[in-house]
Amino acid sequence: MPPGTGPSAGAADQLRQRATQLRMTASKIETTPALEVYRRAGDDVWRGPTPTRCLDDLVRMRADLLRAADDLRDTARLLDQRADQIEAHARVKTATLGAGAGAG
Amino acid sequence: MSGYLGYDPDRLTMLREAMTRAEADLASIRCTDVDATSAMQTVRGARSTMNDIWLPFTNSLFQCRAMDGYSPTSIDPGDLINSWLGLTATRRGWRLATDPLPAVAGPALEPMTIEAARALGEALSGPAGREPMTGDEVAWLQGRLVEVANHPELVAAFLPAFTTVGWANVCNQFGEIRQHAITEALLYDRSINADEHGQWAGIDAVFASLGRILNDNQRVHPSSDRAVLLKDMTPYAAALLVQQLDFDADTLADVARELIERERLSLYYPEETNTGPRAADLLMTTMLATPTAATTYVIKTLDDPALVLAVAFDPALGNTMLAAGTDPASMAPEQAEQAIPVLIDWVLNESTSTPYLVYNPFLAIAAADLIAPYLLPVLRPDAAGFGMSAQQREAIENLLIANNAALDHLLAARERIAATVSSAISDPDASFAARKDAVHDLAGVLAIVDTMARAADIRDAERVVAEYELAWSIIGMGADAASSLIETPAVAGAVGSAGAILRAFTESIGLEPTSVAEVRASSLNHFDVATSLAGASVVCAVFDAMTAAGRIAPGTAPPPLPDLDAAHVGATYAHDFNEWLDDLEPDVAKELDAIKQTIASDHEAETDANGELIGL
Repeated sequence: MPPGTGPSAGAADQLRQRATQLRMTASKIETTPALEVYRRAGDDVWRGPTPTRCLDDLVRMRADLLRAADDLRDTARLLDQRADQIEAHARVKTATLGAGAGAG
Repeated sequence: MSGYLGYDPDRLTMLREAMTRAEADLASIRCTDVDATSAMQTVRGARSTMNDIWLPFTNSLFQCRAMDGYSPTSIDPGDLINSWLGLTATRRGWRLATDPLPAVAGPALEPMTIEAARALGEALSGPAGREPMTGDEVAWLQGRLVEVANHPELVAAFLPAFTTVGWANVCNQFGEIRQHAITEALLYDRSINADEHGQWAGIDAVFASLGRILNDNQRVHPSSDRAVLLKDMTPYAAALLVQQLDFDADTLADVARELIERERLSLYYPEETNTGPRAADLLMTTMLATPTAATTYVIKTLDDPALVLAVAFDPALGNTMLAAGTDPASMAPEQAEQAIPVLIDWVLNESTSTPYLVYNPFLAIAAADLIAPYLLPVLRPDAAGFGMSAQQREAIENLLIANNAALDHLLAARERIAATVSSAISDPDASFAARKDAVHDLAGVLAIVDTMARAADIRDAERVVAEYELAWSIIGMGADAASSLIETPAVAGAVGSAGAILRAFTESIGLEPTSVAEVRASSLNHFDVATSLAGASVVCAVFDAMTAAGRIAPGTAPPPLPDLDAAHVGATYAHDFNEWLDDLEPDVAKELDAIKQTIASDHEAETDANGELIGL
């Protein structure tokens, strides 16, 4: 059976699709306007104890979102690596089986 | 600190729209992958931050119709920080609302911009500067003023907005708080510890910044008149500010006189009783630290020397001002000729005033310090003197003689006094005539001081002997009275003679006081020693000067010194001196002999004259 057509290939493809999905989500987070809201909440807009806390919240929210996007990309990379491993394993197995059939 | 927030309505609208868009965008981010669970929780948290907290909050600001011109809250005009915040907000076209979060102390709300510096000046000029400030407000103001003082552009914005009335209000209330705190501290235990000092350290820091601001502005605008600000202030508040201003000596003396006169008037009918330093104390301390200011002030108050000697809470400050202000190092001879007689006259008048002596018990010491550098012009009635009358000279000498501490001061200053008149003696280039004049003056100084010391010793002895005699008289009278009550004559006689026996016993073991005659003889012997020492000192100085000038060969034996253990010090010294002269060049010997004779005869002549004046 040629590589990429067996059950292993299906699993690898699935992992790659999930990785793609996670990257897309990360991209959306990285480009969301929510990351820039803090720029509109500075001292030139309002001042006081509550505005100070709002700005702090928005800056913290931005950091949390960027960290979440990074985590998604890290996870996607791991999924890709696992897919690569599955495919490599399948290729080795196919080659071993082919050699055994030739000898028989 | 403020419980308010300020905002720009237009920009707040933009913030609200941005949050609405962001929330909608976050809502569109979806991912059902199990490995995205954490990230999606973060996204939901972000949505919640805006949806549940900040959008409702900004909406609430819109709902209170602030955007329509309705101010949702009013600022307390007596609260400095809020008042300043309100002015800053208004100036920007901002609106104000009550902030739901608790106030945070400190200046974090608003960086000190030009606009904020101007608002601070305006706030201080309004009710906020008039109403008593809390400790937090003082601390806040202190920080703000430091920022202003550090930036010329802020000073330029702050000062025009800070009115004269505002200056007076702020400085007066701080002055009052400070004086009350010091009074309380001193009334408690008559001392001020570090904790108590901390109560007004913030106020002092505010005055320091205000002073810096005015000084910097003065450099930029030299024609501005800082003294105008002081006119509406209480003398104490004004003095606190003056301490921080870099006035020249003349201006400082003028300002000090004006403030001290005002304070003196206000103390006639005080609204409250304070203890501790007054404006006069603060100003005198400042003048003492400003070169020549003390002298300028003394000269400017000659028409009323009480402004030096009777106005400070601590009379020692007035005494110090007198000594520093009349020091020849800063007072010119023509000024001294004008000032010293006036001051001596004032001192002599007050020396008979019991209320004044209760206030200033060290007046005689102050008098000693006053005349010490001017001993000859004050006490010698010749053409170079200050024209003091014999009565004045006698009175001032008696004032010092009657006060041991004052006389000690004068004696302690003897070297300093001599130094002012003897520099010509050791000057190698001095002419014989100049040297002789200097010796003449030196002899005069020594003679005056010595006769005063002798007079004091003799009067002390007279007083002690009188007391001793009085005591025995009383004992004798008591014994006689007791014996008159006893019927047995032998016993009565024994009682009556007991006082005399006791006295004889007392004197036999050396407990009787030294007789006046002995003190007189002892002081004369002391006088002989002093004359010899003075003569020897002058001869040595002239010998050195002549050696330096090459008139005496190197290696020549130095002049003899008086043998203080000899029975007759003067005669022994004269003998040794004459022997030493025999080995010198005749012209040098003649000159040195003349110098020595000058000091001896002048010393004696001056002693006789001064002794006669004070009845020695």
